[in-house]
Amino acid sequence: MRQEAQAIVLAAGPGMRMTSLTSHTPKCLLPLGTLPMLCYPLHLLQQAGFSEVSVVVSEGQEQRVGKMVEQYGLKVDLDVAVVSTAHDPGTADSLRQIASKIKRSVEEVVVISSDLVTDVALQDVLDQHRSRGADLTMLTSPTPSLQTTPPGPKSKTHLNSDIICTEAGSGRLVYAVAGGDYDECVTLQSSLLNCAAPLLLSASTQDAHLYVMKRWLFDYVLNKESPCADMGSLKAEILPHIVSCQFTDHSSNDKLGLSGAVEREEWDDLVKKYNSSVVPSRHHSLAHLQPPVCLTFHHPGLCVRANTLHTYWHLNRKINELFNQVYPNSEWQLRHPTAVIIERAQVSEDSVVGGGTMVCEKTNIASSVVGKHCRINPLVRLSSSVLGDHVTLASGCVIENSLILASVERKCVIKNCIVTDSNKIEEGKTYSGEVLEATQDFA
Amino acid sequence: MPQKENKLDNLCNLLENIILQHGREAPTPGQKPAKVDGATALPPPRAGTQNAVPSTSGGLPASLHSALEAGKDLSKEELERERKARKEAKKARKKGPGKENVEERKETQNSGQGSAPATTVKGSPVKGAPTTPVKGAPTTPVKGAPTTPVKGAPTTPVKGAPTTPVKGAPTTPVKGAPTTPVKGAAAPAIPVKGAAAAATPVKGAVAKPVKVAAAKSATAGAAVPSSILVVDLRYGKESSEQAGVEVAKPAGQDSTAGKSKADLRRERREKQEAQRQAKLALKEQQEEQKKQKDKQVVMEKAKASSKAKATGEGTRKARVRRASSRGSSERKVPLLGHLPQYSPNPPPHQVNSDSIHPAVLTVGLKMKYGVVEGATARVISMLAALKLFISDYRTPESCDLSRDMADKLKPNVDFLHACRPHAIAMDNAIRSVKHKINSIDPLTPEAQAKDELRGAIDEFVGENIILASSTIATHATTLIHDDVLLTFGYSALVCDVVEAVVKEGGKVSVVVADYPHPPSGAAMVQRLDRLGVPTYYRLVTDLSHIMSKVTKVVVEAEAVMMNGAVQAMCGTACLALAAATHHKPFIVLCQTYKFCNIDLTDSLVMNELGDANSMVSCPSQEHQGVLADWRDTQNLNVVRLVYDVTPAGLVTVLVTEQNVLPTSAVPVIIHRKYADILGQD
Repeated sequence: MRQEAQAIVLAAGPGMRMTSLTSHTPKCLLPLGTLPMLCYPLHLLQQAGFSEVSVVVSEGQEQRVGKMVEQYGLKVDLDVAVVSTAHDPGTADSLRQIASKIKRSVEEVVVISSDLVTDVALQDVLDQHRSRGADLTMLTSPTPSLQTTPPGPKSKTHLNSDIICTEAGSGRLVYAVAGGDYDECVTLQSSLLNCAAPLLLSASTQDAHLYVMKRWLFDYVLNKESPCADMGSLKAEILPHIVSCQFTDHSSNDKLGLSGAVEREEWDDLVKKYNSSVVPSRHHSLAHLQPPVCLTFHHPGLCVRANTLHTYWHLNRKINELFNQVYPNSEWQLRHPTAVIIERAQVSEDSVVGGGTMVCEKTNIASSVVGKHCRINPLVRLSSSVLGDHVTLASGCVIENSLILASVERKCVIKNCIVTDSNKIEEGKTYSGEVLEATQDFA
Repeated sequence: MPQKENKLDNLCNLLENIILQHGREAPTPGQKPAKVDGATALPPPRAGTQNAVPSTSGGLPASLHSALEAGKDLSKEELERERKARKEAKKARKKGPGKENVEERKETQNSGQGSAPATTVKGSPVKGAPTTPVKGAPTTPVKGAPTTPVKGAPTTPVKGAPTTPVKGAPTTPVKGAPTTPVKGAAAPAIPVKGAAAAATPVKGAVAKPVKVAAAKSATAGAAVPSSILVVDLRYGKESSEQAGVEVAKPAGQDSTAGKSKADLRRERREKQEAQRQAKLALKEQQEEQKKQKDKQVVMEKAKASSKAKATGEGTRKARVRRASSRGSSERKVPLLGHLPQYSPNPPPHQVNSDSIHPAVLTVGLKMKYGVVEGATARVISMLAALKLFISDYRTPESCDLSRDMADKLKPNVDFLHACRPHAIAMDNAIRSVKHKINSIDPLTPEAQAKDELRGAIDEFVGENIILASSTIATHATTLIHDDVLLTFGYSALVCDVVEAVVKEGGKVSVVVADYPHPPSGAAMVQRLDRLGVPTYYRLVTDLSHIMSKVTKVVVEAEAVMMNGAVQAMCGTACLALAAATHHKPFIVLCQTYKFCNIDLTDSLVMNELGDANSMVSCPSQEHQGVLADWRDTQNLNVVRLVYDVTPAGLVTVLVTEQNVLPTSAVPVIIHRKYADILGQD
């Protein structure tokens, strides 16, 4: 039986915008709540009915990712592909890596980034994609506003929103670039203005890195002879290229190979002739849409990519409120039943405690996330912080607004810090606003 | 004369639609028998009591109110019990109670009623008025109706009243009323409907008359309709008769008889009397028949029935309340409960489902979201999907292709239906595909069988759509040359015809009448513009004005019924009516694959409910959202029907690929075309 869609999760990203965290743990396995980040997109796919998912990870992670499904009770079969990290792989390289695993019989390919946390119903995106006859659908959402301040030295929090231009009414994507690349001015092609409909240009919309592509377009993108062959990034290079193809005249521009690749449905013209619909789509009798038809699906709700320290921190702090939205219908509990919390310990309602964690008496945990298999010794005060997995807090520690991924010595006072290396912490000291990470040079 | 009768038919249909639009009590199974009763003029005891109570007791609105309240407060068990009792009663009545019982009942009815109608007739609404101190707007309904027939909302109907019912009433009710009281299917003259309409309020569609009235006096506040309701209840039969008349009003019979009001009234009463007698006679006949049919008589049941009648009042009210208080999404429109309810969401489906082919899924969603509209486009896209389904089909080891494929096809077809009810043309196409599948020899190798099937589908599209369209265009050029055409909305077929005519050198110009939800005519105008045809774009509301200027009306049908009735996009029937009024030929284009072996006389039996929200969402900004919360308004129903039915009598000529035909030739075509398939059904 022909399959409708196949899903690819791109999880090989090195986490360039949060290097202090990813030196030990690959980005896709960073804990978010008490789950690795990768669980969220997998769960999203599972909710939509996918039973098989292909995941591209960087070298050395395949074991851990492969085991993840059982560990966290997901019901999808993972097909893990590995991409070598030697040449700093882009998203497009990851896709090429997995191209051979995409089944011939599949109609759509869903590409999703491993760091997407959203409450969108993927089914709706797919429905719109299919019903409107789109070749590419991109999930967009308003750039989230984050009220939390991440720990570590103060830096300019620069959220890269994208510059996205759509046709009003039809939601057709006519221009999309990453906002970070354009500080002052954006140049639009004049051909854009030939679109009859008014255009909406927004700098406060983000591309959520969830794409649904028709099979032929996916093949075209990965074809060695297409102009996309040497492009490294899906978002920064390939997507703008596809979008711009909508405005090129296919008949004269055969070397692109796009016109040859376009797959037309049978009797498309006939349907178009007899169709009396007024809904803008490829089948609309007035439609002037040229393939590839790129559409956006705007999701006004929650949609955050945990690809920067700031968003990662924000999600972790808010996960208690958001969990039921972004991880619906799951048996996974944020405060895990296997966590041991001594009665005399004070753990606030909005705190999250992972499985196998031991919280000793006379501790106070307020609005914090505690990972799995942690041990929190007596007399620890923990507030507004995030603890990774397997962290031991020695007795007497006071930790505020910090991200702790390594064990902490006795009687330390840590405020606004990121701790990823336990060697850096000495007993009884006070740290504030620092990043305590392993330095490379001692090796 | 036949012309006249046709017009009457149309009026009836229109009427029905109007009633529909304004909402009425659904003919729940429980009420059907009651309706029969009503039609046969035993305005059953209820009516009698109803009449009696209000006319005697003064403080009507208050008492009514309290009654309503009481109905509200009835505990659930009580309701349950009452409902049961009623059901039993109905059963008993259906089965035909023993002769004595019937006699008894009749007697009681007669006695109960005898006084009531008598009083009403004599007392007439005018007298009723002073005794009934109606609070809200006692002036409009009470005074206005009987005395000044030319004023206000409830009065206007009186205009149409004398002419229509007087003519039709005495002659037809005997036929129409008893046989088809619910839908008024077979050539139902107006009186039948009047009777039906009259019967409903009596039966205790307590809140419903309000709707008719409310909708009519749209500008008047909420208070006015409610007061009208009260009055309706009071007068029981009498005033409800008026309600029926009221309904007749919009049919637009402007011929006001120059009779005095008193004359009118007398006439009306006479007519009513005649109707009543006719119905009574019929009822008796029916009772006789029933008795013979079923000899089981249970005294208790009869008793229960009488008891139920007494308590029926409360139950009915309760039911009305319940119906209106049901969840907004599942609130069913009265009278249209049998149609598949519109839902804004597609049926639940999962990615990579085993049973539904992705192409079918896509087509289903496209239909759901209105991306593909129009019977022809839907048929083509569906067949394209079925071709893909066939290509991807693999016969399991132990099965015949024909049998297994039919099984596998079913969930796909069901999904399409769940997305949006099939157009008749789609049903025909599916039937022909299924027929082809069934007729495949089990010994044929799979690949060959699949090729055959795909070939058959190609052939179907090629013959019935592509070739047929061009042939229709050719045929139409014999009818149309230098003309001003009027058409409705978007129709590729009409475009083809215009193109053909232009090619032949005809000088046509086209007026495209459009309807704003959705404005499909805009695309039509663009296409015609590309042909270089002078085109005018008007709204269908300008019809009366346009019609005098055009020379021919050309529309495309969604389906043509066995009896020659034409199902088309809602609004086409208005064109037909207007064309008949102005004596303009009404030409219907239709491929024969859209012919359907069903008789259809109205738009109710088979239709589709569209998105009612699309009607209340007004395109202009400042009016946005006036009715946005209509689902919360208790007595308001917004109905969007997708199709309407133009009776055969209004269709001048039917242009098919076979020939230019009168509508009476439809059965011949159907029998010839579907001889093989129809035989199987």
